[in-house]
Amino acid sequence: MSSGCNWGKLLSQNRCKAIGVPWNEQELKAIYELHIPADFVRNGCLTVVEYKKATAELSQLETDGKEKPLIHMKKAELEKKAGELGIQFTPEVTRADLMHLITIEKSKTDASESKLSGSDEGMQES
Amino acid sequence: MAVITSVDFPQLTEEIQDIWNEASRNSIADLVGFQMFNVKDVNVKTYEHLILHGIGGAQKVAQGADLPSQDLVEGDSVSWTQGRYGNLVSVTKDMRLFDLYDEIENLVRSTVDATWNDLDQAFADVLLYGFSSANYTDVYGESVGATGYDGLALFSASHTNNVSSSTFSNIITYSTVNPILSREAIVKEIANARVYKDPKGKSRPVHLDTLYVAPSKEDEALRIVNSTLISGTNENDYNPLKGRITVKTWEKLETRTDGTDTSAYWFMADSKKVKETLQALFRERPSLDAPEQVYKNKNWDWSLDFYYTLGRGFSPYLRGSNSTQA
Repeated sequence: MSSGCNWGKLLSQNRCKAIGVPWNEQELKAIYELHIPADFVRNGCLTVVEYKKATAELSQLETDGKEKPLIHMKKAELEKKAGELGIQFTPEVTRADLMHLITIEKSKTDASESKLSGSDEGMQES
Repeated sequence: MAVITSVDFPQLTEEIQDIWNEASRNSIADLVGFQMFNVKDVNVKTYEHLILHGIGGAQKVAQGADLPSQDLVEGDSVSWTQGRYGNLVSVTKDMRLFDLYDEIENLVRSTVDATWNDLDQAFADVLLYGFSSANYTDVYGESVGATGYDGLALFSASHTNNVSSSTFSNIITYSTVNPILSREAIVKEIANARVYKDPKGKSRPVHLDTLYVAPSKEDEALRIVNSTLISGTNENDYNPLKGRITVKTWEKLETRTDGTDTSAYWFMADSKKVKETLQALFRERPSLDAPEQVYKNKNWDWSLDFYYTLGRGFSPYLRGSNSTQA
């Protein structure tokens, strides 16, 4: 015996935290009573103060010309980013999976860059 | 000494069937879950249910104009998949050889009792585990999902919809959420349900007319509801709940399958609509089938099996409190 709601559809409507993960009462209150955007609630903002702080940090990043965190990127932005990193995907991929794939790819790139810079240093020393 | 031989098999089959039918009839008559849930037969293994949040309705049509399409969005869908359950009821050679008819009869009666009562407990668990969206282990030892069509627990303070950002609560609320059983909490929740609105803000009253309690709370519930005057006070005011609310005592509400004491939990329902909220779907209801062959151990194995699933549908017609006042 099993029952299943349409998690994909609920996620696309921001009515669950992730596939198979419901919002808890505090998170529901933040979204429906305090009208905090779902992505900020996913990131842990449960009060208006926390939300304002997070948006201020985000706009500071934009002012500084830095890239915003993946969690705040729209799916189209994530698709663009994934394309730049050479990740292959189809339109069916979920936003959460894209974020995961980008994180893995970026950590690989960062690791190889630091390895390269490390070997450069080594060469310079010799 | 009489011996039940293969010649007696057709008669024994008939007798066992009679015992099964009679015991089942008696059991089902007492099971509250079977009265509360929408128990129906379906042919499909996975049943798709659509929830439209009660919106739609007629619009003004100008003379000669086409009738407008119903103003509906796709709605929320939920699917319920049936599982198979069963066991064997063995009439052993000893039982036949020594004509232990009393043992055979008790074997069948006990199986009937266990089967229907386990199902009733599975029904009650839908309510008792309904305050959390976490999976739980049901009476058959299976992990069962507890979320409804909106990905939330059966009882939530903020049920969502796909039409607007409005939400509704079906957790009983009086001063706090999940109040203990009291006349004031019942009165308040009746009023809360009466002013229920659909996602577009239109009035869709829910008429709570049935109170479900565990046996421990039966006396208290009956006094609150059925006293001529308001119980527990010196007031001479008449009790408006009398005759308007039916108290149903459900034995299975006393303890959850995991042994948790749930005797303080209480629920209210709109008896005309609660069957939309709580559904029990059977492809095959429990039945006892005679064996078709004799096995090596010479037991005559009657097989008991059934296919069923439980569904959580549109939830404003059922209200619950786990009495935690939080």
